[in-house]
Amino acid sequence: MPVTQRPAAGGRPGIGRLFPRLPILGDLRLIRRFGWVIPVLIVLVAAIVAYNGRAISQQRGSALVVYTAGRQRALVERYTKDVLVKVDGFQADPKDSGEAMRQPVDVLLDGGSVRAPQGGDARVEIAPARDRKVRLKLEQDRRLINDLIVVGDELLKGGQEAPDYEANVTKLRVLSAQLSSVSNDAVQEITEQSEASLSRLVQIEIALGVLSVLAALGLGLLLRRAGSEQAAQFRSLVNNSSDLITVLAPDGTIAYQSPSVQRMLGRRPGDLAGTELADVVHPDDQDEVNASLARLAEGAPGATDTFGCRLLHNDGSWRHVESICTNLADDPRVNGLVLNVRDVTEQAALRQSISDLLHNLARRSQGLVDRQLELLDELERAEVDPDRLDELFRMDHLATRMRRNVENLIVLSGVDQRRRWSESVPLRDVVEAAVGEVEEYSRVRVAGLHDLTLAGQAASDVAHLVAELVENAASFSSPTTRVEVSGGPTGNGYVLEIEDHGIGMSDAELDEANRRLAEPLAADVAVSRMMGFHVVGRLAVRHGIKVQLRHSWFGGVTALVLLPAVLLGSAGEHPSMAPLVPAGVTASPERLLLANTTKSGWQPRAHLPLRQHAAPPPDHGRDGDAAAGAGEPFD
Amino acid sequence: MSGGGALEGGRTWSRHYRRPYTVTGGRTRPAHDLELETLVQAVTGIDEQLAELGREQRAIAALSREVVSVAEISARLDLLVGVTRVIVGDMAHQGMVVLYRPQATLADADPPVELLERVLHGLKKIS
Repeated sequence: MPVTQRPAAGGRPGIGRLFPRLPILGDLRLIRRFGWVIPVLIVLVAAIVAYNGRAISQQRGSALVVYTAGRQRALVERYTKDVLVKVDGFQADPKDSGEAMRQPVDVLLDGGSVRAPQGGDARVEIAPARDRKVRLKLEQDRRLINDLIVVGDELLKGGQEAPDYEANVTKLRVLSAQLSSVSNDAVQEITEQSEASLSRLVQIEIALGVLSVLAALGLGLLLRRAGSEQAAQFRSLVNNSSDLITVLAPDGTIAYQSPSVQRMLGRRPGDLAGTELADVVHPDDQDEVNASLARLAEGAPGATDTFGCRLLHNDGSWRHVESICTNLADDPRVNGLVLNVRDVTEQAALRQSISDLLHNLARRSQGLVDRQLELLDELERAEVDPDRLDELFRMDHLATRMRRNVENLIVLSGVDQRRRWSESVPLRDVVEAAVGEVEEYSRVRVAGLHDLTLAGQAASDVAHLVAELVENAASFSSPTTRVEVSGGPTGNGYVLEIEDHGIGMSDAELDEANRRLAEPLAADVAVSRMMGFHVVGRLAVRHGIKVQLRHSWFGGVTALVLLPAVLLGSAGEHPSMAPLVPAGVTASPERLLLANTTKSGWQPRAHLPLRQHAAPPPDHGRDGDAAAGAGEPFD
Repeated sequence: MSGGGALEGGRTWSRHYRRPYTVTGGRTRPAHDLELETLVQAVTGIDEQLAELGREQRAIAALSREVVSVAEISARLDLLVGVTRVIVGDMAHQGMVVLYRPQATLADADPPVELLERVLHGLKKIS
């Protein structure tokens, strides 16, 4: 993409430029880069908890060891006393207390279980002492105990009469004292060690705490940096995007344009600042742009709207653009309308050429169908045989439906080149023509239409519109039921009702159909599949007609077509209607009828000047010029 | 405006778009046997029914206040003969008009000169 390789004009060069078009990638990179922090934090916390647990159990073990060592001292004293008492001839059991005396030191050295400090027969396990110093003391303890027991045994064996009695007693007491002292040392050592480990634990915990704080700080900093990177990336996105970002100040002047303006309109970014947007909008598109912007300005903050228009390129050509606008007037950082403008000139050209192709083909077909119908007119005029006339009528019907399709295609092509029938047409004729364009026209009943006329330039379109709706009604109802077309005046026009007695539509289908009627799209494949509603929508838009589908009281669907008053006139103004009114006939039937009998038809010449001299009726306000300029078709 | 201009000059929108078969609902065979020279006359009191009728019926009703032939109606209203016959036949069926079959007069040895003149007049108008 050559666009991204251009130096960012005014943009900050940075890491964001590498991915200027894919903001989502930024987020992924963020996760990839800082994702390791989370497992590391989890491991840290787990380590702290485990270490704490181990330290606490160690602490408890140490206390037990101290207790056991202390108890051993008492046992040594008891053994010494037992030996002396026994030697003195009293009742005692030095053998038992000797075993008891051995036990704690064995347990402390080799591991095993001892009676719990508190409570009955419960026993607790003690792991072998690991520390070298403690073990040395305990080994010494064990040796001394062995010596003590040897001396004790000698004393017990020899009794008071033995020659070395005195010496052995002294030896026993000395050993006992030594043992006490060594045990004391061991206890001391263990206590000191456990204190040291405790303080080490505290230190480690403090260190971990500090580490966590540092990690949090680091993560925050990294995230902030990532945020600023994203901001840079976004800026770069704006600067390098092929879309033109334009900010409009509340007064309609251009406040900012992104550098894409160079590419799109051939101007430097600051060139248009301060000028009116309207200065570069094609005159024909001003209304749409203004309407869109006005809607946006009146709408809620943050609302969006879209429009398409042509913008003036610096070289004088027009670029087709589509714009998505957002109202950010209440955002103090923007304070205006933001337009995201996209260049669609190429698509527009493509669409135009397809439209032209469609239009040309349809025009040719239209010419052929018209000639076919004229020929049929001639044949039908001369035909008196009912059977042959019936065949001609069937051909006529087919050709008429073909003409409707062809003329719909012209509408879909979007090329606005319509036949300008200058004179207004009885509404009844328009509806009857529409009925004739439908396959099952014999099922359709027209009733209760008022004597109104329709502006000539809308007549064909209204006929095709009604034909689509009637055809829809006929094809979605039983062939044995009728489709009723009726009408009635409303405050702002005239409403045609097309009602069927079919199975109806669900609410969702009805909503969907009404939505499609309200927003006709550009011609595409999807449209060709549901052409009917689309054609109706397009035809309606051309003449300001509103079409709506509703549930019918009879179970089917009613299509309402609101013809705006500007298209309508009263029947009296229409020349071809006048002689049909009985009152006019009774006045002077003979003269009128003779006047009507002309070769071009039964239009009374006598009435034409009346229409020309009369003030233009309101429904001709729009095409008044065309009607006057086209001259009289009957002359 | 290639096609439009040519059409604009000679024919009105209604003649161009409102096809003749819609007038009769596609029917081509009249309810009564009708000849071109069959005479038609509206019954009195037809005015009350006019509001219900289509444009052609109203025009025929207006024309046939005096006795006219089917051919004359067709010519004056610029309606196809086939269509005129169907409509007049329907109106006769509904009792809105009375038909005077030409056979009755032709059976006489001496048809009225007035009638022959009217037929001639009507034929001239068709051509």
